[in-house]
Amino acid sequence: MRIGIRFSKTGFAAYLSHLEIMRLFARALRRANVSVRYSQGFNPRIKMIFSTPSPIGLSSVAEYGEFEVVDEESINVMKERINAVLPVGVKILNIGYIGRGIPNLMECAKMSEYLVIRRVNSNADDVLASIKGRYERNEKISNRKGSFELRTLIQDLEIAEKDDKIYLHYFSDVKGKNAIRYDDIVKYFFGEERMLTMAFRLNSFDVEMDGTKINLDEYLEGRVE
Amino acid sequence: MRTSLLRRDVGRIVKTLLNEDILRTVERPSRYIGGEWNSIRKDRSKVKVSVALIFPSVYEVGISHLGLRILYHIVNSLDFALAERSYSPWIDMEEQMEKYDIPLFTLESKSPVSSFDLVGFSLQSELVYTNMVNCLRLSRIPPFALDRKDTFPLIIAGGPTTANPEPIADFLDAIVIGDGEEVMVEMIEIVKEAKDMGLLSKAYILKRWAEIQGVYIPSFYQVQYSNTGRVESVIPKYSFAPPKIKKAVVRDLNEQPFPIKQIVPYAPAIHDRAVVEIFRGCTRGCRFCQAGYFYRPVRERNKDSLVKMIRDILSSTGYEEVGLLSLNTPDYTHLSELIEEILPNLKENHISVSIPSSRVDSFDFKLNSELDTGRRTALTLAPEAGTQYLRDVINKGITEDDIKMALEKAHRMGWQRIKLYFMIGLPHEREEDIDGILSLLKFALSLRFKRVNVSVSNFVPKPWTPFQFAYQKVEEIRGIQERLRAFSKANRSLHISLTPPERSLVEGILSRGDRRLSKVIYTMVYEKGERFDDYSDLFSFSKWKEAMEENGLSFEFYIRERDVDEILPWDHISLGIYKEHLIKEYNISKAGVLTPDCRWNRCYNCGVCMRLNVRNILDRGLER
Repeated sequence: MRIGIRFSKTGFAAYLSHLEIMRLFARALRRANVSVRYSQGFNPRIKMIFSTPSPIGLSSVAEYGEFEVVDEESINVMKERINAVLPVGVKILNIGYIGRGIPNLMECAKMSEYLVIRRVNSNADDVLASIKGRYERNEKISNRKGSFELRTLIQDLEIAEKDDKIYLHYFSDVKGKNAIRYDDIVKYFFGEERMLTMAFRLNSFDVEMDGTKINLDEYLEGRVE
Repeated sequence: MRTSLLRRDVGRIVKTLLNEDILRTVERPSRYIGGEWNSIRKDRSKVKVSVALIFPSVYEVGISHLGLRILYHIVNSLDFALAERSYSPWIDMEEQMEKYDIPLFTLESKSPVSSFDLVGFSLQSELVYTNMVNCLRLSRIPPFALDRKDTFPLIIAGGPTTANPEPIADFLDAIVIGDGEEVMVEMIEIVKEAKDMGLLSKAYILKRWAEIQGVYIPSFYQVQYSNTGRVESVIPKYSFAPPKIKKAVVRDLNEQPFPIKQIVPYAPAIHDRAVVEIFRGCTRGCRFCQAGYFYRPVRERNKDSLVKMIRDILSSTGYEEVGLLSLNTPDYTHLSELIEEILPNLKENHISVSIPSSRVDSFDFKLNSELDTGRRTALTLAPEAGTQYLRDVINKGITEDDIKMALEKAHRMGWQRIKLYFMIGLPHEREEDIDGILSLLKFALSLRFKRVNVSVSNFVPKPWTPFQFAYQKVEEIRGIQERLRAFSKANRSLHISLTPPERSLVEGILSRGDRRLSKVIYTMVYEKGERFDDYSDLFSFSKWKEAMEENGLSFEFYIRERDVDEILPWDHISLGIYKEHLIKEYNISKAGVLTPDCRWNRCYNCGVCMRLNVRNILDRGLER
């Protein structure tokens, strides 16, 4: 039986690496005494698959992972049990069985919704206007694959300013040639200067051929099989 | 008042870490964030005594250490005290901390280390002395005890290197010699009493601490040197300071708590597993081994309580591996029964067992193949020396046949990689003893292992061992390393790792040094910006050379052979061992005379049981 979870990593836990998150969950599942299925072979390990790793420093309320269990049990009790043994800053928000025929969540996760908050020292209005202008003009931005138009990589950008902070809300691909990391966007708009930057992944989506976004939560509503 | 100041400091540290985006730019930020599963966060305003425990190495090393885990849990189990942890920040983090004016802070509450009542360092090797002093520098605590007058925190340290505490004596208000678990509690209780009575003076606390067995207050002693530079006397300045400081020793481990809720780090620790200490101490009597002399006598834990502890630790940590720790685990009286009892449950939960450091003669292949859950890592064997003569000199006791049989068996049972440990530069070592190492390696290679890893360490004479008198070889080691290197070049499946002789030289002078070395360590940290001497790329011998010269000291003086009747800088420390016993062992070593293990043979009168009123405790629970 496939179990999917949506979890958050916030506060100092945002600084955990993907590898550290994987180890953390393997041990938490053992502590919670979940009847998790192990890989076959010489060196059995807990089979757990995670959606796109979030870079170090990104807070998230939309991380996904899946594992298999041997025994059926109440999904909400399981959630409580695991949450009781997770360290501060990491928490399961949603849990459910994953339906038959759904590919693994790593494949499904294609796009995420982000909020980036950045403090600016100089005149915030000017910074705001400049970013807006660049987005309108659809300037070129480089990700790790090449150079692309802004609106291809940073979709549906909304931008606001309050108390010397700039708020960027946007969607971007988490894999493929159009993927871009939040820190590259920050560098592009604000330069290299180090300044308070808070970044959140708010939701993660599968995207259909016609562009329709499906929140990954919808995949956690399968029946027990 | 203090609480609000503290809150301000913590706020500033956290804010700077986040505002300046420091954590995202350093390697492995999880080293600094705390909040690991089973870490303990108590409210500092609700306890009387706060302790910062520091392991002056990088996080992945420090978090693996059992001794500090034990102390952390013991202190936090007291309702009037708390302990928080800190480690040496790696150089990238150190740079950021200096740039943004962040003092060394604890992982739990992100408080400055300087805000605690006590700061305790765990010292596992002489090469972390610079790290310890660097931690004081980063905490902005004056490094020399004399300059701290009546200010807190009080700085203390413990660990096996305190068999000779003199090189670090000037930095520390108190040094714990021996087992720390009972002493630590007594020391904290005295601080609490002092606070309760409004007697919070450093002089009062140190005087009370001096009454505790195992606590050494360096400032209470006057060291005199002769005109040749040797220590002439170490005399107490006050009548209440004992002329000899006896080590603290836990009589029976079964009466001591053991941490069940062990911290599970995020970052992969160097020993990333649950641990149980199945016994403490070793009486094999290897003449080079400081741990063997420091942790006497043997004290086994009861098998049934170990079974329960292992089960509880695994369920509270979720670890996939458990290590059965001791100085030589196969010596545990009921090892096979213990493993038989825990194995079914472990196998069912896919948990493996690790047994560190095995002697060739006591290594049980049947046991190990059973434990081997398929990881098939390298099998490690430690012949230590190349010939029977030299193995007898060091009292290792294993034979050529033991080693060859073990290698053949390992090969037959399918091990593809083996790791062999040797030591060079030993007293009485001859050319033919090095030939012996090469011929053992040739034998191992002839069995056609896929890989033969050989780790060759340089012998460093350690205080309170029979070899404490020995001359420390340096040039000789260079020559031997050349031979080994040439041999390794000709054999592709052989990989030999060597330690730079200069690093062993520095380790040696810090091991057998006197109080004058404190100034050298200070110079290294404060004037030359050095630390992390245990990392090859960060270790600078030329800086050590300068620091020694600038302080008017020479390496030659410290590596020389000591007269057996010479007053040694650590003679006022007592591990319970008679100096006469060490002299006897040193003298008979030359003829290769063996001294058998007193656990299973007659007592050879080393002094520990007699003087400290303890005895070897073997777990006889199963005997009829």
